[in-house]
Amino acid sequence: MIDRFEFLVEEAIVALRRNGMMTVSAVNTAAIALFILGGLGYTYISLANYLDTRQSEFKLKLSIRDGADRDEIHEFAEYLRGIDGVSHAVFLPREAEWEKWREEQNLGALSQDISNPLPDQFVITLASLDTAESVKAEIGKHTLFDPEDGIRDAREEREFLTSLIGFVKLFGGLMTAVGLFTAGTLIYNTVHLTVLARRRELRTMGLIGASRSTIRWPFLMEGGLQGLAGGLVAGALLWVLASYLGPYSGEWLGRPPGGEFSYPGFAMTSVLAAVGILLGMLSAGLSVRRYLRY
Amino acid sequence: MIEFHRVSVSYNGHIVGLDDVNLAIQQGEFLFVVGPTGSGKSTLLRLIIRDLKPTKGRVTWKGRDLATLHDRMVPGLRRQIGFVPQDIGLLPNKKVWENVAYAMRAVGHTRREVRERVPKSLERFGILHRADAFPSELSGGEQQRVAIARALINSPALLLADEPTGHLDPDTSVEIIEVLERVNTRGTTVMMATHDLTTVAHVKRRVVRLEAGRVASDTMGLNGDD
Repeated sequence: MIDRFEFLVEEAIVALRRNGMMTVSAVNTAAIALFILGGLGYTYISLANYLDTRQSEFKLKLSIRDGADRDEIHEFAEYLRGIDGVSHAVFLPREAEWEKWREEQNLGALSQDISNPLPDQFVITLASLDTAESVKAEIGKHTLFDPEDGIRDAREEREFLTSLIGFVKLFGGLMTAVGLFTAGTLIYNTVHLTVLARRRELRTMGLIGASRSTIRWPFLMEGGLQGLAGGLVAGALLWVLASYLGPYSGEWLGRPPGGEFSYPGFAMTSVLAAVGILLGMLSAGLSVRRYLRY
Repeated sequence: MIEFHRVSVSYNGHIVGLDDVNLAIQQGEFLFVVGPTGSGKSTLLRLIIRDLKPTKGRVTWKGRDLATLHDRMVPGLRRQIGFVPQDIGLLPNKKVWENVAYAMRAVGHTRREVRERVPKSLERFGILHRADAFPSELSGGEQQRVAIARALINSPALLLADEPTGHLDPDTSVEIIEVLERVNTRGTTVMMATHDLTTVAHVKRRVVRLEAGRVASDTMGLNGDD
């Protein structure tokens, strides 16, 4: 078993070495294709994550009727937290808010005779902007909600962000899918050319009694190794590029507010290597298949 | 050992490869299949290694109809047959000894068995001194010897050689025929397709002549009797 495995691996490595130029060109193509795919994919994921985090900055603010007692407020808070799409609901007592406002405005004794005009309020953080309208509808059903003040939210900004997120996810996802297809096609074409150049070898192997798996496996390993090398080169190039350009990037490319840019180089390189192996083996398998028919 | 029962092969439905061929080959025979280019010699050999299936009729190997052989069984059949293709078919990126070793390793022999048998085989065919050369560095005769060594390394019951003297000078051709005769005297059935009648005339063996896909004659020696 080990001897057999050694034979197949040896076949793949010797073929890669002796078909040097073909190997170099396959690795180059795989590297370029995976570099583009990795760049597109990383930009898309970073942008989508960034927009998702921006969603939590949009909050709903609502007033409750005057005269509600502590138990009613507590019950309303539980009601709000139970609504589907509500992430947090925080109670803002009118006295505390009034005190805070006075301090912020530095009014001091000037406002002592003015009665507190603020209502008791709740601030709600949504799990997702998509749920804003349904959450508002649920809030409106509760008797403690004061419809006179309504629910204050940055509706226009929220709607713009929602449509932007939708567009980015659709377009970015589409671009990444196109990138994956292009990378797959490029790698397939190159691996196919290396197989095509050796089709007489494939035929000879079959004629001398080699089984299909004996013929196929070294080619699959070759394709996988070419993809792996391409993935590693692409990962390294992206890592270098990210370390140079990252500090100048905006928050949307993974730099936390006020923090330093950190690129997940190891994870990205691993993913690109895995995609490379997968595409390389798939391409080799498809290319060899037609020459293994009896 | 091998029987052809009213075998016809047509390519693309109208080009005749073989036409109603009946033939029986016994174990231990040495058989020449002669005829001009396009007469069906290669088609005949390809049917035996199941590289082709007949359009009509049956080809049997030890009583087994080859057309009904499952694809998975084809490598097993080919391991009983040594084949020297018309284009010699050496693996260009492998050295001489690796070409012969591949035929052993591909059918499951260990590295140790390869180390024991390959040098002996190369020595037997007079090419041990070229063991580390690549096929492109060999002469035509040397390439044929390597191809024959590779075809015989697993001790097959039958050796099929398709035009092994096709591109060789007369002296080298005779040398190759002598090699094949030696193989035959050790019990291996040899079937050689050729259009080189000068070479065939050197040896008094069974000669099947094909013309336009049909058996035109089946004689002992080039001009012998049925």
